[in-house]
Amino acid sequence: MADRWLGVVVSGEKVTFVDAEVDGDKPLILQGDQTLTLQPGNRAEAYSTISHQIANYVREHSIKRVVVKESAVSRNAATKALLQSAELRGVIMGALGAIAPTEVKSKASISRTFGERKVDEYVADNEFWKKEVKGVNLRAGSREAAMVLLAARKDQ
Amino acid sequence: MTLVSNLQVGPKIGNGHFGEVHSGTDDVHGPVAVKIFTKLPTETDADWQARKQGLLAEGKRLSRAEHANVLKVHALLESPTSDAVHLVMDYCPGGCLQKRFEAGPMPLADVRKYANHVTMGLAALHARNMIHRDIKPANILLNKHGAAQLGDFGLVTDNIIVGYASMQGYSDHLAFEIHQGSGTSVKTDIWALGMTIYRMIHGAEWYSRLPSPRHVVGKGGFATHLPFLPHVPKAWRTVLRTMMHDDTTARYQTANEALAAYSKLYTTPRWECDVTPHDVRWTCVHKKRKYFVVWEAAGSNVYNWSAWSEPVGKGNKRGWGSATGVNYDTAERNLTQLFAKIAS
Repeated sequence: MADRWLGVVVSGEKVTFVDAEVDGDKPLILQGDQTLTLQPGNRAEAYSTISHQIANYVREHSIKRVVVKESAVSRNAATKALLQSAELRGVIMGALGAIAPTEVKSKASISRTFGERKVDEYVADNEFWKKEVKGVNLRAGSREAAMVLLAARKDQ
Repeated sequence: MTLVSNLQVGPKIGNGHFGEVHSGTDDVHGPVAVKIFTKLPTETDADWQARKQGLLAEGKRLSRAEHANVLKVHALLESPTSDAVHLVMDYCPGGCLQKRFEAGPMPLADVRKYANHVTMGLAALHARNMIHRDIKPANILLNKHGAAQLGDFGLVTDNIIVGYASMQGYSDHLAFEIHQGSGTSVKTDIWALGMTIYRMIHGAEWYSRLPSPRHVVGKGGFATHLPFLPHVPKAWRTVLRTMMHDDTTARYQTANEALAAYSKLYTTPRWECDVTPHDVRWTCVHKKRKYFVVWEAAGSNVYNWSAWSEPVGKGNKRGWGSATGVNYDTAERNLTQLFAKIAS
């Protein structure tokens, strides 16, 4: 039986999430593809708002499982923007972890285990996405969020 | 259904069109607000029975509409004599936003905070296929944590706590398409929410100078011609004009879409604004200086304005601009440009 899963990628001050029905090895049936942006101003209030926004989405759409793309180690110095992005990722994980089983997937682990190619190659492959995802249109910028769902499905 | 004996109904705290609101207590929830619906003098027994059944049915739905930004309904109880229905709700000690609206313009940071709360509550109602139909400052209540909650959602047309005549507020919050004969919808709720946010930003004195929306919204182009206080940034105006667009397809289609648009709304610097019949005054602290702006009426369509800053600590007062004897449009344009200089 199909369940609704949510794949989440946090980048900068944006949270992109893909909501899809997952049913065995069948293509993901995409139900939603959205991006939330952190509000300017008081950061604590903005975190509270965005965490409620995404938590409300998970509740209202009966999401059964959440997969978040993990923070990656930067080869360069950790900038404030990078730290704040990780901060936001933690806020989102905390908000969603309280209401649905939430796990993290690193890009490196997906590259190692998903298939023969690296994640970025799958993300760039239009034919791959035509085959793997049906339903509402998946924005090209949201493919990483869908990729974490595919990787989590493979691990089942 | 019988009245639960542990509900103690206290003194009246407000009036409504259909009934009164009382404070109360019960053993489980502590302080509660109890709205008592009674048979109207003009109502037949059959009409009262029908309305009562409607209230009870809607009460069941409301009690399921649980959300942090929706006023919690604990129970809807019928009195033993069947001549009244008691709606038992959370008591909100912060009162309603109508009081804040009457006190004057609210800082943008506060408005956005409450707009966030209310929009999330509204999205939750819409997700349950409910339309609020009466969004206005008087129906937004502040709970003990300072969070805004939507109250009186579609059950009745009067308000819960303060007892203002609801028809006035309701009529001013009717979207263009309702004036054209269409019914209420998610999009009419979004229009009313836009109007509510506009009122919170501007306060009662400024709002009272507008032609009454109920008389002009139906003519079309209301949002396009809506005058904003000059400190309100362009992004805020765009969002509110989108929420109140005549064309429903140009409006935000869902409450969540409106909420996403709030991420464009800057709230600093924090201007404190006071509007009186004769002038508008602003102050804010920005980068260790306190800024002052005064806009005064000097005659029929004749205005003066002046602006200056003073250091928070030691230092000199500095002029920031002024004009005398200019018309409204010039003064408004000058001041809008002035405020934009220190916007985020």
